[in-house]
Amino acid sequence: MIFDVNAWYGRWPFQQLNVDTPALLKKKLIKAGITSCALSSTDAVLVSDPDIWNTRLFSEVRGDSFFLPVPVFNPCLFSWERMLEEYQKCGVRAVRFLPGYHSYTLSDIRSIRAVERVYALGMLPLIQIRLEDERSQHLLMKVSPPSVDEVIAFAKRIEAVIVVLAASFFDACRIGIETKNVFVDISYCERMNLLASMVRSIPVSRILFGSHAAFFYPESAVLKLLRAELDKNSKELIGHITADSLFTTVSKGG
Amino acid sequence: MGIIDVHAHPSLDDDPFGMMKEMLRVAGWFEVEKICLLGDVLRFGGNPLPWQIRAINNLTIALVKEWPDHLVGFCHLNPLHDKRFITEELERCILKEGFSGVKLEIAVNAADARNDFLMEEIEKLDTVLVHHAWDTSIIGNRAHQSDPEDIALLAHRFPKVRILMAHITSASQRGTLAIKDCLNVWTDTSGGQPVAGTVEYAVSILGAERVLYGSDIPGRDFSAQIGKIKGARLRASEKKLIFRDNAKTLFRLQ
Repeated sequence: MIFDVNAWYGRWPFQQLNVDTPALLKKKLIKAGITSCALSSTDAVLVSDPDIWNTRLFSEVRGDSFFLPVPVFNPCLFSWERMLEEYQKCGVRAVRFLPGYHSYTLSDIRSIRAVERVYALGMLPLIQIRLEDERSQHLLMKVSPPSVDEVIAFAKRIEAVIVVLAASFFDACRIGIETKNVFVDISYCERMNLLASMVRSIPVSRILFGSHAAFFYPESAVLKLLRAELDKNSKELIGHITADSLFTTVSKGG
Repeated sequence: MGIIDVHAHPSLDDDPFGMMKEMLRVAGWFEVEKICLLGDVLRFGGNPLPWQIRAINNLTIALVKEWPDHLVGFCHLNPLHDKRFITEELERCILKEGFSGVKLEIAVNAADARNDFLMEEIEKLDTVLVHHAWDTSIIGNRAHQSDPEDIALLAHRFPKVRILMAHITSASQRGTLAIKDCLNVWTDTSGGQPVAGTVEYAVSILGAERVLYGSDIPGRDFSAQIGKIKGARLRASEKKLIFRDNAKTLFRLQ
């Protein structure tokens, strides 16, 4: 079983994603070997009211246990607290923050307050570090990711809150040494014999499977996991056990 | 089917043989049968001195001698060097050691006329040029870095030289279009993230016969890079060309 914490569908102005419905993405992920995913809408990222697309996401995946819908959330919106309460009422189990795309930093008090509120409401905060590699972004769409130092400082300010970091580079592994409340996905991490290298810096119990589909070929992340030089238990932890536990425990109030 | 990886780098670190042994061990998990070693090309920066070029090539020679069935050597050169040095190094690596081509990195832009002597020598030897390329509208430094358009200019001026342009992910659609009409230019899939659609687009514009699999290991991993080809919506026969047959043909491998 593989649970993907970093999956997207929709349209994106700088890449032809070819999966503008959850059904198309599901087909692609299943073919790659992924059995369920935390899904967000790319369309929700660049509009001023993400709920236009979040609502559509909820409606499109309702009743399909393959998907765990994760709304794109902007804590800079005036009505952010009300939005979170609505998500909670809808049974949402995780909320996705995109600091770079919504022009705030993790040191911003709004980030701290919002992440703490998300967690207090029984939802898991996912911090999306990037959607595109900075070395391939459009000239007019340069979006800087939070730095590793910024993430570490942020994590230390919210020590009682568990956060998931999606799409960080391999250097984010040092977050594993310097913090205790941050989990990282493997979608953007890469180097020779990746997972064996990662577990030298970050406990295996804090590594999660993420594909970053439909931006990426999901087969790449699946190969990272399946061909990893790790024992079966470690692969299962990364593949789904840790994520299953995180998404369930948090929603039950920690 | 044994895969041929056309883009890998050894390391002049403390234990280059240990690192290569590890690379070959990991390669085995992915059915990678042969690896093209392009040299530790950035070890001394973008403009290496003659003694540094010799050190880079000495290592490649030694590694290929140790693992002749699995490694294919390439001669790294700096076009700014003295003609006699260039000729001697070509004779040493291509004629004496049987290397399969020349690798150029970022000493000068590919369209620079200072490449001409070296290009004439490559043409005389009837060998292959592997040239680094990236989108300089993103990373800058076009005096040294080469855009796909620069590779196209070089290819037009030396139509008899077979050129493998590295890193199609960075070249993206614009770069793919730039080399479309240069029938003496091939491209590799190495480096960059496994951005979905990249390989299919390259095949649709260039044909599967002009696309070769490469990883850019050890900075990258076989898993993510092989996943690009496995995940691409292509016929099995096209994947076979990309993974293996095109490299055999281009480099005239046994």
